[in-house]
Amino acid sequence: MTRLTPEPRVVGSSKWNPGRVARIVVMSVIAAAFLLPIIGFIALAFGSQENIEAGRSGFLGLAGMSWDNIVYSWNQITGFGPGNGGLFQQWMLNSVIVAVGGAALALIAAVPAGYAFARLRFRFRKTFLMATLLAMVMPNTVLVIPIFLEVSAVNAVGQLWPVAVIMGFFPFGVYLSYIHFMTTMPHELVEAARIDGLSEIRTFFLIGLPISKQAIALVAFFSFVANWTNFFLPLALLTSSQQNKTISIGIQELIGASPLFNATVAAGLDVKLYLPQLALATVISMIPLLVMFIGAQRFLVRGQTIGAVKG
Amino acid sequence: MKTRRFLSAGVALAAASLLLAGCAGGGDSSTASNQTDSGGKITVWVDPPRVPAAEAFKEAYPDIPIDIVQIDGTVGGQTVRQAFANFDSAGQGWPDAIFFPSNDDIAWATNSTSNYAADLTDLLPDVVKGYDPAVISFCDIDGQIRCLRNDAAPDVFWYNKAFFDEKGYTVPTTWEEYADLSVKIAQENPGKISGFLGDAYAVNRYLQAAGCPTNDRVSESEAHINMDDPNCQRATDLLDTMQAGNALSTQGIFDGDAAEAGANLVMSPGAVWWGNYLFRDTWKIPAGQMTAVAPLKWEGDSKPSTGNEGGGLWGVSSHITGKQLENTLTFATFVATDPRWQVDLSTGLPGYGPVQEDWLAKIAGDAYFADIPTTQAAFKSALGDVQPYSYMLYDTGSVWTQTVPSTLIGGGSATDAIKAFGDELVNQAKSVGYTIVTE
Repeated sequence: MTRLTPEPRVVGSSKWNPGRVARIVVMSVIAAAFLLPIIGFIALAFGSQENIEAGRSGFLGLAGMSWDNIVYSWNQITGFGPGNGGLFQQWMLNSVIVAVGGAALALIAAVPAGYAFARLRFRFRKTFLMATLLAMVMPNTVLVIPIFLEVSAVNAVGQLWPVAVIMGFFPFGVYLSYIHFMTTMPHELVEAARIDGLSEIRTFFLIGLPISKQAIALVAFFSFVANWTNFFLPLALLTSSQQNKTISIGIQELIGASPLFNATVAAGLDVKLYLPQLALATVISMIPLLVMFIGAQRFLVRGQTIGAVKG
Repeated sequence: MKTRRFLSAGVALAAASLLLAGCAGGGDSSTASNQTDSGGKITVWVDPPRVPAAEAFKEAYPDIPIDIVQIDGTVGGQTVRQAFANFDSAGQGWPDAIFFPSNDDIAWATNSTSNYAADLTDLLPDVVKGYDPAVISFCDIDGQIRCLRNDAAPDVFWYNKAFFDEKGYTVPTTWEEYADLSVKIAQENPGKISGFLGDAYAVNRYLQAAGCPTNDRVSESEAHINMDDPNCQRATDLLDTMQAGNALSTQGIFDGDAAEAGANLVMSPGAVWWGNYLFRDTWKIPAGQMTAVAPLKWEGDSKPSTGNEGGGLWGVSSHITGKQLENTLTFATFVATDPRWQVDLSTGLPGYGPVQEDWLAKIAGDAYFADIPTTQAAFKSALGDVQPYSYMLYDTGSVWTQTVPSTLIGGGSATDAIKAFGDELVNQAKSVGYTIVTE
């Protein structure tokens, strides 16, 4: 049987020499500089404030880890809020709603827009494309106040849906889709479809979309990440709502209620939010991003080649 | 050609942005001219420790529909101010009542730009009358009462009675005696300290208590700051003496490792809440040791002078009317005066006079302080000894923590530290728009 794909060629020397050792040492030091804080941070979530204060946590806090600590910290962060607490879970749910909703809207808008820029010809196409690029590099914070005024004008401040709708505005997704269709969908394919009598919309749905799984995954992933970590938009639009805040601003509230940062406020609370509790809340808030990354990993790795070779 | 395209794209984008801003820019920043009435429903913003107050109100007044919003309680945080700036632009969205996370917030909430906080002088005259004038003075802006104190936090003079009894020291009655005794104790008992300088409230403990004009509001745009004032000088001399005699800690009372120094604290001016929060719960000083006496006098003065550390403020919206206003005033009255919150649940000494006795009676039940009747009397007498202090748009406490501890740790004297503090305070006051007057 003929092997269609050759074995990847092993590059680099297998012999040890001073240069190789030096490279490995340098790379290990750099890797450790990034890895150790992450390990320490996760270990902190498994730690206890008593051990930290007594200096019993050991190197990176690894000695003080226990499941009981996690359970205690979980009870503290979920107990935060009026009545019996529960704000943390609500914040996570709200973040899921706006991040998924915003990503879905971004997909619905960005992929067809990218296709249109890449394969249709219409007046001011390049001007719109340039405007998209400019919008992409414009800091989000610039638009927060005008957006707040818009949302206020329709009496929707404090509601989740305007946040999701605004998150659906994702010019980077348009650009990504544009590059994708430019590089993977030859003009000849579109021409053939037209000759066969397909309308532009059917050409997009029947020809463009089926070859766009990677682009869709990439747009969805980057949009979800941007939405999940968005701070200023929820801060401006959701501060006035008890139940509709997202985790990105919720974490800030937890920090504001910690004895470490705000002793007089924390003194009046039943729950105690020290470093292990804040670390656990942060680690949990990262889990959806990790799940999304793992789910989209296959497409992300392949998608890196978008634009690398012209089709 | 490409440049033209870029330009036209930029113009299109700018036009779209302007349109976006313009369409939404119909907000009325003139504020109180458009008062609204929801028909009864009210929205209140409270920081986490004040949520039980709002819930107690909800239970006491089930017929009043209320939305309770828990806000970021970070003292010195900007979240609430930013939200209000947005509401001011939009001309709507303000909460009907709020517990201000920082007392400094009352400065922007009453300025002509925001004008959020309603004048309560005529809206709640009976409630206002229930406050000691010194307690409500923080809410008195140009003769109008623009907020209600939740709790009073006057500084009393704390000392370790067990230590004093054992060593035979006499409790000082003047600030000068305090300075001299602190040096003597530090010499005879190395490691024992008589004060903390590293936290934001230290400015109140010493400079406000001396009557030093750091926060003296002349008008909305003018602040009286003069660190050469004799009142500032007497505080500086006091701290110089104590600092040179190793009687002070450069740590702050809230520092994570302050408990060790706290266990060595033998005397200090400090707020009434130091008793339970710091000594009992944070530093774990055993019962029967700490006790409070009335604030100290400056030599030559006829009555004691003391500072104030915190004590939160409630504000009511000036943008509402009718049933909505009526219900909001019911809420404000409840949280400021009702024993179901102020006595049963609140940890701070009530600012409202008529419920203070009941709260003070709870101290006896706790049996923590060494001399309970004296401590109770000190709490009450200190209320009227608090020196005038205006909350401003600049954050005096932050300026203190940025300048004083670092100067002292760097080897500077208290004089150097307070000079650095004064210079930076003037800079920050100017940067937020104040004109500085020195007389």
